[in-house]
Amino acid sequence: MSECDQISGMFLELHEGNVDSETRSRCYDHMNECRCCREEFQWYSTAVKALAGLERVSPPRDFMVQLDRRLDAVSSRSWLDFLKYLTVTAPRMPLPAGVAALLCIVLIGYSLYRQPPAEIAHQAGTLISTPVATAKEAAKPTSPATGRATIAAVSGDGALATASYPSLSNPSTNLPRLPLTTPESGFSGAKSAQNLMPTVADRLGADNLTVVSARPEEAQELLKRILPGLHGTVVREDLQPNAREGLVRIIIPPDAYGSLTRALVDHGDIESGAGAGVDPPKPVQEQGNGILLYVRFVRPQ
Amino acid sequence: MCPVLAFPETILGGLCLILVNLLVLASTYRPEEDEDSEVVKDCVQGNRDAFNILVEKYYRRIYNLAYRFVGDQEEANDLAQDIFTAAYQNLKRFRGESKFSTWLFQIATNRGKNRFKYLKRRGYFANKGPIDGDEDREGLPRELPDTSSNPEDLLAGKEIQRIVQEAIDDLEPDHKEIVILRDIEGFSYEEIARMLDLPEGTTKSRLHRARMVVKEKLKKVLS
Repeated sequence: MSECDQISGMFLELHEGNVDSETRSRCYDHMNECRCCREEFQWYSTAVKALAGLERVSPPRDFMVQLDRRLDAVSSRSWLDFLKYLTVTAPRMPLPAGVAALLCIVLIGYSLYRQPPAEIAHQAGTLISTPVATAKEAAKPTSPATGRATIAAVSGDGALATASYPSLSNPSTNLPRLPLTTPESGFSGAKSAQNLMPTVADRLGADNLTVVSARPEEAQELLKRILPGLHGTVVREDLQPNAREGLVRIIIPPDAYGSLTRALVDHGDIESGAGAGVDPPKPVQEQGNGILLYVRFVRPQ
Repeated sequence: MCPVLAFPETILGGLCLILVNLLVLASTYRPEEDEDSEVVKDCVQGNRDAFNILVEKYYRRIYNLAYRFVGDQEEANDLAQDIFTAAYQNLKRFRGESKFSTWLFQIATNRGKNRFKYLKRRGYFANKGPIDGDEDREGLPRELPDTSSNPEDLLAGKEIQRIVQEAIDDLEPDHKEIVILRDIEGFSYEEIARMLDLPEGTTKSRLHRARMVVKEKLKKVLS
């Protein structure tokens, strides 16, 4: 490399004065003798000055207004942009964390959905202070907004029902539900519900019928009498003489539900029937088109 | 004193000395102070007015930088707005490790370089006529400088401005950004190196080559 090339390579440092005095003297000595290098350095300095001396260009007067509009457009993100932000841009919530959080929410929600409300309340330590209603009380209309006649329902041999007919659950029924009861507690007067465990019958919904009658034997006989007319049959009956309560399992066609309850109303055993407007419980698959009903006969205290 | 005990004492003394030195260093250390830090904090919390304060402060410089990249006022306007929009959108990513101005100019340089490459690919600079503001002088003969005089005397005048801008337009993007940041915007080598994520030596060598190119252009036109 010639000395001229070396000097040329040092123009930047020379121009900015970042060389030691010895090097500077050597460079200037060379440039005093070499006209070419001297001129080149002069042009170099000129170029730097020309660059530094470029006039500043002014932005248009409405620059800020235009920018404001643009920022407004950016601020109003679309739904798609938001998703993009979540998955790509969001620095504090990477995609795996977001997906994990979403899965947690779904799992918790699903487990709560599967859990009966009673268990949730019980687990939460909630005290249900409402006295357990008797079947007679519960037979009163509970939905004044709709004016629909309702029947006291629920409470029965839950364990048996679960074992025999797991598909008996009928959440779509419009019949009301009693406060949580067990067969033992449901008819023995008011009792704090905090000690009561929900039965399977509670989960089954209104596929059970409680008949509160001063003459349960007569009511049971009435049931047996009207069943053939409704194309229903008795599956099993557990009713002992002079017992305070008994249970009869019957199978009836779904459309006979209203007629059955009306007959019981006429007999004075329940206050009101389901009526034609009430959707009957869904048929139990194991029993063909018939629905299995647990009819509990209770003598009032 | 027993020589066996003297040795641990020496080590202990050395450790104490190191500890004192560290304490002195820690007490004298001052992180790079950023005059915009308070306003930036407000911006990150979603305060648009605070962002407007920053825009008001920097938009002239950013616009000028954008103009030097693209050499056209309309393009520069769009580019400058694009730069501020990007800054606004990415403000939450700014961690305060550098000054806000350094961060903003880093965005500006990246965007400017990309826009320049894009325009160059589309032949924008090849087809470009006289730069803005010179349209009204198209009919007039070019005011060529008197080459007999000293080159430094020639620097005054619009024509030189145009020639220098054309020289910048012809630079490679990697050289162009350094010339703009150093010679036009006046950033230090340290700041440029941080913005472009380059060693200082590379920054200087690129700047030198870029200046030599500009020098040759000027010499060719003015001589």
